[in-house]
Amino acid sequence: MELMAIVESRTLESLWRRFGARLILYAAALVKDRSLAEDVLQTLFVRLLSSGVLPPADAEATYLFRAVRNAALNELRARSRARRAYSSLLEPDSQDPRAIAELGELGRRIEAVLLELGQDEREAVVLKIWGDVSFAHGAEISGVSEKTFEYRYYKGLSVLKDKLGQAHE
Amino acid sequence: MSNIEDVLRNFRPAPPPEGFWDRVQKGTLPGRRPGGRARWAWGGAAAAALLFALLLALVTMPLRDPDSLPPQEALRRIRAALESSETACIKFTLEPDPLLPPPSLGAPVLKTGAVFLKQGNKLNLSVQEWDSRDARGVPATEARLVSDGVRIQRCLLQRGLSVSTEDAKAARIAPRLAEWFLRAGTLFSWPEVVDLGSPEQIRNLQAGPDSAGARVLSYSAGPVSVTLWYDPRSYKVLRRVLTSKAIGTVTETFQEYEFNEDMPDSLFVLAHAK
Repeated sequence: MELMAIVESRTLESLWRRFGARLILYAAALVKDRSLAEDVLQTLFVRLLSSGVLPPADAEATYLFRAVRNAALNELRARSRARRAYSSLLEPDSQDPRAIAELGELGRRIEAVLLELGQDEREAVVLKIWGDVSFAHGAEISGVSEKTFEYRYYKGLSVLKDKLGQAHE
Repeated sequence: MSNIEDVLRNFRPAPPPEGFWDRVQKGTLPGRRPGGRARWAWGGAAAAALLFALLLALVTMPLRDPDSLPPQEALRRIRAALESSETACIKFTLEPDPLLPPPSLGAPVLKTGAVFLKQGNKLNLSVQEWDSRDARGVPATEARLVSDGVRIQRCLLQRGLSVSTEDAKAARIAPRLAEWFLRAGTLFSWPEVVDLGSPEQIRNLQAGPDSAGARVLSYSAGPVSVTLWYDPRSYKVLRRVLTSKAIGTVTETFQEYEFNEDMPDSLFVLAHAK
């Protein structure tokens, strides 16, 4: 494939470096498969690079999350793939080896419970907590009203709290 | 509700895979199926294929708790997987030592490669040397090693033109490749040196500190120090770093790997037979 790098790659690359991990997590939350999520992101960024289209500067996050959402849902519809190897979605936000070790098991529990959530709730929690978007932007990305998005978010948190609480408290 | 939010914020998204942005810049789409000529045309790397086969075999055998595996057992499983998987497809990148002379003095900027390995002594391995990091166009040098199960052919191309070929009898490719890989064989000097015959003994094998969820093995093989990262769940090798006075520090990163997928025999046809 001859790639016409119309876009200055450093610009798109800087977007990737800022949003990449969050976008992969968001895609993984939608397709429930980390490897498939990486494929979705790779396809998306190859297309962005070759098309010359850059997200609008004043709405980069919304544009990118929205694009990931469309690509991930398309992939889900067309999906007929074999189950892939498991890869972690989250990692402890710490540099302390002791804290990392202590949080490891909890992280796996969170991932497991997260994947058990309904898709709407899971999407809202991932966007708000790790996508770091506002309720308004989350609603725009998900294509629902702000009130609906907020409801899904708190419902998701409630389920997470209940299920994790049994082991965590 | 703030408590659960605080708990969740103790975690962050796992980092993207290594080599992701390089693949984007190359325009590589994710089609990971090893099904056609286009895939084979990318050429390949042997070590990665071996690793993957290894991983597959490991995945398919009943696993004990990986936490309890001593390093010798982990290495044995990696080797066994490489030797016994039905097929393996691996793509990799070789990063030269940044302290080596610059390209103008003869050192390649980047090597890429792929390996397709199939039961029955079938192998298709290629490595490309690139003058620039974008790895576009025709590689400065490309070396291919293809076995149809009976004969193995080595072919060297410069700027896309064949400059030499050499045939030999193919035998026990998968076990020898696995052994070669684990005993610090590297494609960095390829095609000048790929000696599958006399691998170095492994010494000082030990488990290193885990790194971002990956297990680490370190050992010596002859003059080369090896550090190998692998996934403790699947036993996939993720990265390998080799260090010696002769080669400096070479980092191998494995970007793609598939096991036991359909792999057409057209991948393993010698040049004169096509």
